[in-house]
Formats: sequence, structure tokens, C-alpha cells
Amino acid sequence: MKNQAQRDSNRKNLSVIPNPYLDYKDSLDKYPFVIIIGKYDHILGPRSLYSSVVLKDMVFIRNLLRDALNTKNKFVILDFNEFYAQIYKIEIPDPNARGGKQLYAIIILRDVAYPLIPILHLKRIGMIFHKIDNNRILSDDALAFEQFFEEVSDIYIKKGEILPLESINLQIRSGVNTIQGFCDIIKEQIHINGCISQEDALSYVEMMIDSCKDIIEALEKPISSSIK
Amino acid sequence: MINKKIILIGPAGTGKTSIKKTFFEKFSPISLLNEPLRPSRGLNTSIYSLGDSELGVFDLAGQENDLWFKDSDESIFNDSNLIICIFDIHNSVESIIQFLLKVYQIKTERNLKSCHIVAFLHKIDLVSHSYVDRKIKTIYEFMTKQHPSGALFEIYKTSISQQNYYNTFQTLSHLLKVILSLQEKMLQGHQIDEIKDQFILFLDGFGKESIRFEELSSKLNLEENTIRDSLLKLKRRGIVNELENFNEFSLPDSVYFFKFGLEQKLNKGGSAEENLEFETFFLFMILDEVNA
Repeated sequence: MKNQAQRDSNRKNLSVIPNPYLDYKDSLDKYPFVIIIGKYDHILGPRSLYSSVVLKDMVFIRNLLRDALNTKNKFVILDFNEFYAQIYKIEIPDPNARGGKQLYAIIILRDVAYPLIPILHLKRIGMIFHKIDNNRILSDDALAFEQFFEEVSDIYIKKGEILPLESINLQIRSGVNTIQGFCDIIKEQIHINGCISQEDALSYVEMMIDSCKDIIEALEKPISSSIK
Repeated sequence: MINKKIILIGPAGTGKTSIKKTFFEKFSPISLLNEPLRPSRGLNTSIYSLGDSELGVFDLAGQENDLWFKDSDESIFNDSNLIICIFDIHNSVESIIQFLLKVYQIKTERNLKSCHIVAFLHKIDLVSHSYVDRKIKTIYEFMTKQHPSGALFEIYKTSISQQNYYNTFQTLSHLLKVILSLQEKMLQGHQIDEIKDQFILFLDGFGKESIRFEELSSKLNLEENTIRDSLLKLKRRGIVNELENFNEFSLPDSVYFFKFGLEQKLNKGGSAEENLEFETFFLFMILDEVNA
């Protein structure tokens, strides 16, 4: 809760456009990326539900969510000079919401020194998000989001599975990693539930086929430039 | 938790963002009067808490009204509970009526049955009372003629000036109570007891200038611990500023403006515990920005 002194200090800065990079620089130096889960709440507007780091500038986050969620594209990239945001938008069915769905966004903030994360990895992160029970997502269950982040962190931060993304074999590595990742998810689901639904299996297979296509494309065409 | 959606809309430069900053965030009205804000761009949303409820406030840039008025399935007005149309008192009667009718049309088209539409005639401190009253009368007359069922909107006189700050906040708190379905006598006995000391401290202890802790102790008929406890609570809510390591305190500009109007109301009669003023103080105190 802000006190008046803070408010007045903010007021003094109203005419100065703050640089959000300063708020995230430490985190972006420390981690390969920062993850934020946002939601376009029908009543309250764009809001963040979870962040892997402490969010200091809520106006920046709300504007980022607003800009990302107001576009029609499923994948959005927003450039902030010193860093950028890759956003993957996810719809969750909600019979109580207007239009029968709620719109969520997985936001990945990265230092500009790092190249873009391939869409396949974003899709994989999206699949991990989809593993959370819809009711838990719709009830803004902080613990579920924390578990989601831990899983993403296990794969991408602790194991460094996709890193370094700067590798020349990026596209191939990324494809192979993605296939491996989906195999892990399938194994896990069978391990936990004893089986895997046809819908999930088909969706994973389709994504793995996409990865195969990416690998073939990468082998056939020399990588002329990095994704960056 | 009850969530409500509030829309602030109006022609450019009428004071929508100033109203949001002054009344919802307790920013200094003096600073806003001296240094007007830059024009807003696009849509700015903020979330505020009021007790157990959360309010999503959508501040729509006046320069982009054509965009907001476009009819679409994803209209910004969807799900709104309160649309506050804010006009500068200098806006022409005709333009105000046209604008209000457009908003009313949206309410009908979007089937926003439970949505309330109100109009704020803002910056009333810049003109005479008679001019404001005449303008409101003209708007009502026109509306009544156009719509035989009567005026469609309630029109309120608002300003962030010292003379009008309290009344404007009271208008806002009345509207919040309406959309949150709060009763007029919303406070229970134990809640009144809990806030009573803070109310007395705020009302009898503070003035325009800062005050030292020992002065407060000698001035008020309250125990030192009670004063300390109440000061902490008021400080946490942004009602008082701590100037010197819990030795000296002052009221922020917005709070002083609020107190100025509150005192005027109380001087007109009625005991604080029983009347609307106490509840208005309570709402003023608990309305806060949500930062997560």
C-alpha cells in the first residue's frame, strides 16, 4: 500500500516516462528470462496474476498486457529497446464469461542480448500451462501458477535445455528439444494418469511433426542468420 | 469478492485522469491544478480495492472517443457497471447532450441493463454557482423533452478544488455504494468502534500545518497508545504523512481538502457517528490502489 510520500514522489515523476528496463535489469541479468502470467479480466481489465520476479512497475505491466491482449495474433513480440517481451496468448473456456472464454497471456521478458525464443518452445510452455486444471486457472490459483513456473524453470532454467539459444544449431536443437519435451510430457501423463487422452496425444504429435519440419528445413537450408 | 467495472469517458481535457488520480489515488490536487497532466493516450486501466471488492477503472482517452464508440462485440463498454461521463463545465450544452445520448445508445445496443450512466460537470470552481445550476437545468429540460419518461442521467457537480473536493468524493462514494449494493448505513457497530479513534484523531488532531506527536497527545482526550495505534493505521492508508521518525505528522493535500469539506458538513449539524459523513470518511480511507 502506498503512502502519500510515495504518491507525491510518483506525482513528481508523472511527466517523466519511466524506463522499465531499470526495474528488470537485475532479473534479466540473472535469469535467461522472466515469466509473467497475465489475464484480460472482463471486469478489472488487464492484470498480472503471477510473476517469477517482483513486479515494480504495474503501469508498465498493465500496458504491456493491454497491448498484447488487444492484438489478434496468438504470438506477439513487443520491443522495449533494451529488452523485449514475447507473449503467447491462451484462451481458457469459461462458461460464465462473455464469449465463453477467458484470455490469458504468458509473457516472457528477455534481455535484447538474447535472441528470440522459437515459437515451438513457447508452445511447449503453453502446453505446460494447459496441464493446470482449468478451474485452478480460472480461480487465479497462485499455487498452480507457481508450480507451472517451477516446471518451466526445471526445463529451461535449471537444466538449461534450450540454452544457449545463441547456438548456430539453434533451429535443430530447438526442434530436438521440443520433441524430447513432448515425449517427457507424454511419459509423465501416462505415469500420472495411466493413459493419455486422444486429444492430447494428437496435439503433441502435431507439434512434434512441426518440430520435425523445422529440423528438416534447418538441414536443407543453411542458417544464414540468427533468429535475432 | 465482488468486482465492478467503471468507465471514465468524456471529451478531451475534461479531467478524467485527474479525477481518477485525485479521488482514487489521493494524489495532490494542488499539484494537478498547478501542473495539468499530459493528455492520456488509449485506454488506461487501474484496479482499486474497496474493502472486499475490487474496482476496475477504465480511463478512456478523450482524443480517441470515435474508437470507443465503434460498435463491436469486443466493445470496451461490455460488462461495465458504471459509466461516468465527464465534461468540462465550459463544454456546450449541445455537445454534452450529444455525448450523453451516444453513451445511452451504447448502453441500449450492448444490452447493459444493470449499468448506471452518470454525468459529471467538472471544474465547477471556474464559474459561478448560478451558471452551473442553469446549465444542469437546461440539460435536464432537453432530456425530458427528448425522452418523455424523464431525464436519463443524473448530473453531478464536481471539482478537485478545496471547496468542492469533499462533495465530489461524496458523490463518488454514493455511486460506489450503488454499484456495490452497499446500504446507506453500511457500517456495523464494531466497525464504527474500530474507526472512531482514527476519525477523532483525524478530525480534532490535524490542521493544515504539521503537528508533533506530543502536541497531539496533549490536544486530544485519547490515550497515547490509542493515538500511536491510530496514527499507524492512518499512515498505512495514506491519510497522514510521517515527517520525522514518528515525531511529526501532516495531512497530504488531498486529505486536507477532504477534511476541509468534512468539517463544513459537520458544522451544519448531525453527529458524526450517525450520519453519512462518517461512512464517507471510512470509504475515503479504505479506497486504495491494488498493485498486484
